[in-house]
Amino acid sequence: MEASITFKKVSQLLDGKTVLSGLSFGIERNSTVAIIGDNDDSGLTEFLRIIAGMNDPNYGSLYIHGFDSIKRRSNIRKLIGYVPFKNDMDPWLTAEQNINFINSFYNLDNKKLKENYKNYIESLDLSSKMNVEVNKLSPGALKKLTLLRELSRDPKVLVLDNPTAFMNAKDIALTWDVLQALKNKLTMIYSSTSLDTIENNHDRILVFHDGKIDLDDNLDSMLKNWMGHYQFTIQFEKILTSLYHKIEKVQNIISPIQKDNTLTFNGDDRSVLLRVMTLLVGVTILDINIKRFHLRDLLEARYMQEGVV
Amino acid sequence: MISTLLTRRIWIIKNRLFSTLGLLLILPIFLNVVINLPFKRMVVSPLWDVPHEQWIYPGLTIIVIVMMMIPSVYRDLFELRIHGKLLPSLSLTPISKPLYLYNFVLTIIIESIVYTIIVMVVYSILLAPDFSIVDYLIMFPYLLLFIALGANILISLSLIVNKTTLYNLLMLTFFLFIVFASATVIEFEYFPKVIGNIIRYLPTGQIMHSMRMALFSDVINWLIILASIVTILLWIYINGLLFTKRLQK
Repeated sequence: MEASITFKKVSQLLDGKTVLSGLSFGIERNSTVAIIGDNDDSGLTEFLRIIAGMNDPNYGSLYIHGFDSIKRRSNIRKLIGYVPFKNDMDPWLTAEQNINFINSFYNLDNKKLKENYKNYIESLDLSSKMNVEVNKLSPGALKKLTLLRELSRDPKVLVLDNPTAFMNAKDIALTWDVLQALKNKLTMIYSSTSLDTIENNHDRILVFHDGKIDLDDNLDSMLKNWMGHYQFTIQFEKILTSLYHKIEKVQNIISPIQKDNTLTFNGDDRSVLLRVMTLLVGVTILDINIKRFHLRDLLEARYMQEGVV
Repeated sequence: MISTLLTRRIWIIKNRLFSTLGLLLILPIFLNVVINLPFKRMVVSPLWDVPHEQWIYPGLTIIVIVMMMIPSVYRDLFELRIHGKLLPSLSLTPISKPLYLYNFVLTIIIESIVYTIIVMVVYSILLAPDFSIVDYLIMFPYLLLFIALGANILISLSLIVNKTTLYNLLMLTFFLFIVFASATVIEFEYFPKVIGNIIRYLPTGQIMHSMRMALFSDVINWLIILASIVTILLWIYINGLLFTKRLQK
């Protein structure tokens, strides 16, 4: 697959502290990439700002659609849309004036621009806000307006710093409907504090830790590689050690643990449980619990010791 | 680009039409009451041998224009920069940053020209100076030079200073400098000789002095005009560099 964004040994310092360290990887065109990381999110924001062109990397190179981010900056400007965490709209202008002002510097096809603009106003339910001065609008509405401004230009790469921050539940749903409709049509890189959102909207998740990418895959593969998709807990009236040793050897069983009369194990699918059950004929079972793992469980399991995420 | 920036200025004025127009009409009247009327009683002999109203007319006009210019520059550069509004998005557009700044200066000058015409009309009614059309035509280019210089000073301050308190203090100092140390309402002769000589040779003082020379003595000092233009162009260039540097991070 063709690369949309390529990092080559990119490092970044912020106030003397390394927030990104030697990043080398690529992001495929038209893929959706979610990023999460340490609670101190400076590295994530910096990562997004570098892609957006707000900051240049201190070390290394970044290529966007094959263009060097510094040497061929002018070629890149029109390709990128950036929604920052905090809105950056001019408080003295109305929403419509703000969007028209910024978009007028891009020399884009006016007809297409207007068409996109009109469509996204409807999809994001912003028609009542367009003629209001932005200092009178809520932060959630401003976030949607910033998204409208960027989407109306039809960017090839959309960089979003917490795209639904400050929004109410209805607006979050609207915004994700719009973004999901764009899946596979543009490269989308976003950060979010909502793990549920990330779980439902990604082709790939990058987990940052200490300025480096610690995990890089989609959730399914990460779960498969790290802990399986399910956790099964069986509570026995009494479990014999010999039975436990038999269960330990069941095909595809992950991390079986026996504690008192309770057996806990993980597996990629429910067939593991069925295989275990065949060994339990004549054994009294008090309770069975099946838990599906989520991103949160993966992060907790991986970083529990370090207090990350 | 200039049309986009002018459109933005028009939007801002339109969004606050009554307060802008009100200020534009009230300020000249207010300054006439608090500056012109008491000064007229203080000045015993006419300066440059012309009636006081004629002498003070260009100075008062400049003060009002500078007062109108301060909020515009404050709003469009300092406040937006400090609060991280508009300029970050602007820095991501394909336009050149110095070019944006040059066009911004031009926009401020064009806006100030409109204000100047309105203020000149108001003061022509209030002060009734004995100026001919030619006098107004002579005065106008000098006012433009002063506006361009003032705009550049304000832009530099807006780009250099990071603290609102310091910025406000500097704005106040700049305003007092324009009122009291640029020969707008106080002639250089009223200052102690050494101080008078210093401020006489500052660009603002030079423009005011040569304007009065042209108006009241029919002497046009081309060297000062040329020097002022060069100073302004250099200043615009430096502001362009400053603006680029500020927007980079």
